[in-house]
Amino acid sequence: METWKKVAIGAAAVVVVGAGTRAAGLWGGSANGGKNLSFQLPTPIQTLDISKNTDTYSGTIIGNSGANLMRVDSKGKPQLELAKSVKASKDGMTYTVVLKDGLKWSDGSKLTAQDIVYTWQRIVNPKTASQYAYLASGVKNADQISAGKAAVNTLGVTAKGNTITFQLERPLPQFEYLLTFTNFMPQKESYVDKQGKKYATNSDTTLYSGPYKVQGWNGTNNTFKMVKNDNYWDAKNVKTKEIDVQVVQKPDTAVQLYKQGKIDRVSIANTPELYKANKNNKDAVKAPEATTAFLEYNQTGKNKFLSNAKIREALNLATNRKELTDQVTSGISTPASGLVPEDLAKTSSGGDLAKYVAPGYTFDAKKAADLFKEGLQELGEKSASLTITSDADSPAAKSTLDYLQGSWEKALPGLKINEKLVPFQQRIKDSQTQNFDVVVTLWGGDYPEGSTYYDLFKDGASYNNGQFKNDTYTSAVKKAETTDVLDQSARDKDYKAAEAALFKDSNINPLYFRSGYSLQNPKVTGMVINTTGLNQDWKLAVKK
Amino acid sequence: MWKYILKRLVLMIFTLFLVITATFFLMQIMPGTPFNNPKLTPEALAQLKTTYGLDLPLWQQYLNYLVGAAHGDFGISFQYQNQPVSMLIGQRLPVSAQLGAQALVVGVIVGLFMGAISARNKNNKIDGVSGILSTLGISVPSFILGIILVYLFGFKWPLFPVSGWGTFSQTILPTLALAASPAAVTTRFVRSEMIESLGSDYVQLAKAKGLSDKEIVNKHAYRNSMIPVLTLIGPMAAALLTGSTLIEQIFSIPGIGQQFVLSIPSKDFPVIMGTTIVYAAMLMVMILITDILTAIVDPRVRLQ
Repeated sequence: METWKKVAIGAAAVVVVGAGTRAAGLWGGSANGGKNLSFQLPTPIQTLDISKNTDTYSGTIIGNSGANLMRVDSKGKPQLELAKSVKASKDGMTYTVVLKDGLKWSDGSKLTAQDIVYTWQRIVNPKTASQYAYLASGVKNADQISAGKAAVNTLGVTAKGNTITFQLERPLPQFEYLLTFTNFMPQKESYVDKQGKKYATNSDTTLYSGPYKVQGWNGTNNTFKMVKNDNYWDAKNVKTKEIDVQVVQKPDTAVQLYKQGKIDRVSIANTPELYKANKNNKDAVKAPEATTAFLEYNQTGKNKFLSNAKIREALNLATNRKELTDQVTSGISTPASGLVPEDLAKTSSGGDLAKYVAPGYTFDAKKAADLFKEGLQELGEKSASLTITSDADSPAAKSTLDYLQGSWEKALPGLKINEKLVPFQQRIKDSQTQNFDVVVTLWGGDYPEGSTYYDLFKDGASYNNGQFKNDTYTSAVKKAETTDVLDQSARDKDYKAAEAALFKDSNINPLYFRSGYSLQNPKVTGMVINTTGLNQDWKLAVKK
Repeated sequence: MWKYILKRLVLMIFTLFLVITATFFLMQIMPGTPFNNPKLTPEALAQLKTTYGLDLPLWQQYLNYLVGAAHGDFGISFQYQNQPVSMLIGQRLPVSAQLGAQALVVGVIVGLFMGAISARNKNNKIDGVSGILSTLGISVPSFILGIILVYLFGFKWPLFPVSGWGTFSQTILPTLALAASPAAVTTRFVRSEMIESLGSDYVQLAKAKGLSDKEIVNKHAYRNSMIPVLTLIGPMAAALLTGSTLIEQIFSIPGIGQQFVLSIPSKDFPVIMGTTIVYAAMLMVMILITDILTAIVDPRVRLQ
């Protein structure tokens, strides 16, 4: 036989086999014709362990396959879920929760109040070594237990019948949100013990209490399913039978799959190019992240320029936040108006907390130059040199530093700016040891309540990297967390006062509120997008 | 021969020990801890370090690791909660191995055909086209080819899935992307071997005997030029091992390369150590196999 004939026959065979197996459905992949939802994760999930997870996307899967005492609704408010009632005592120090009747685990066994107690004990138990144990801080003995100084059973979470009592050490304005967290979803002790080391390392060694069960995750594979959990208490309102989940790591590949109709929601904010190419797509929606980028000034006295209030104010006034956001994030993010980001929390009257507390950060190059000159004169100096630190791991880092260097040096004659780009871990270390002049910090909120930000700079708080003291600020925040803890409108006012105090002393310099952008299939409704906690709630999501 | 292999195996264990030591101490230079949450308070961080034994003196951590590794215990991943490193690698290695093997088989088969066709059409158009293709195959990195394949066969003509692992169709594009380089190397190798064979004395003799061209090529020249290809497989397999790291990223394949890349920024010490050891061991085994094959194929090489 001639060579070309062999090649031709070979090629024909490949085509026939290929077409045949494809027709027979052996190829998989494109089985998205029905009403199944199809979602993409940008990184593989790491665990289904409720207490130990720290990863956002693993959290998405845990949160959609788990239930908690409360669940956040589409308006961002916690609503009763496994709980029949949640009552706070007048001083805000005790919460009494009664469970609904007839709750079940996905295997049909009874879900009890003890399962709630166990999950709280497990996360603070030092043997569990959860990085999120600090979330329970404020519950009686939680900190003592996680430091290994008290026994696990002394935790202020106890059960009697189907009633759970939470005793707190101090009032927590965010407490109801803690009852919605994925890290506090119930776990069954006997099941966890039985699975031992294998617990939650794949979908078969995990028990589910939520709307869906995970199916076919073997601990490593990048495609699996979420199927409806018929034992979920509210199963009648879960209309989607199956959700296909696949990991697609390349952002542009994910966008192409979206355009082919193979996935129902995808981020387009990973690179400026991807955003520019897709921002005019009719399916594009903004996806705020409740994360603020701000500058911390070293106010320990190590740097005399930054100890001078006029120089700090000059730097704040010389920052054109609108221009910075446009250049650095291609306009995806929002210029910051304060420490607390937009879409984090609502005020008592339903407005956005960030708008309510905004103290009036502005750009005024002339005033900045005057103040800078005055500040230098006070110090008896003719020029100043500052280093700005940022971590090289985030894509906007270098451009942020470039922008600040260029615009500040232009606006403030006599100022020299040096850039210092370090790895993420090094930035954290430098911040904590005050080894910086000015550092770019990104802070994401843990729950939709102001204290997740305002706790940062209280006296003695370990996150106050600039180590400034601002008494007006501290007393306002303390008031919000003690006397005003159960009075939201009073708390809003306290936060406003705290924000104004930060602004007045120019203790920090808020740059932008980080945001994403996504394409979402308009046929999909009912999905709840949260900026903190469970980022995508698929419970009520349906595809028409 | 057996003595030689034994000697090499002992040397391999020594090399592995050096790799472990170097990796262990290099990792200490990286700043930070495996606990990536910037919100951890110093007290909580200290507590975690105690739990995982990271507060011990460095030499003690090193000894603990060596003792564990000698017993086959490579620790537990920080990033993948609860999962032992041996399990993480055990699940991912077969995926990478399958991908590498498929690419190697496809690459070598294509290379054998193309090389033979080129040699028989020496210096005409077909040889020219094959020459251009093989030059491209060697010089275009697999990840560029991967992206081109995704664009062409994933989106322009959506014939194949472009991400994930599990069905056969998902393996096609990554296999092709990885197979290009071994195919090109084999093509060039077979072509030059065969041109040499075709000019050799025994082919002249065969011609004199009156055998047809086809018989000469199939029965004599081709067989003889195929044998040395065996010696290429070792280095090519090693190249595939490293090449697949990027391909696994592009096609979201849950292989050991993907694992390796993800573990470094998160400072997942046990996983970085474990994967490095596996990579080093595989590379050394490949080199050993190549040396043995070379000795078998070519009796002029003596192993000692």
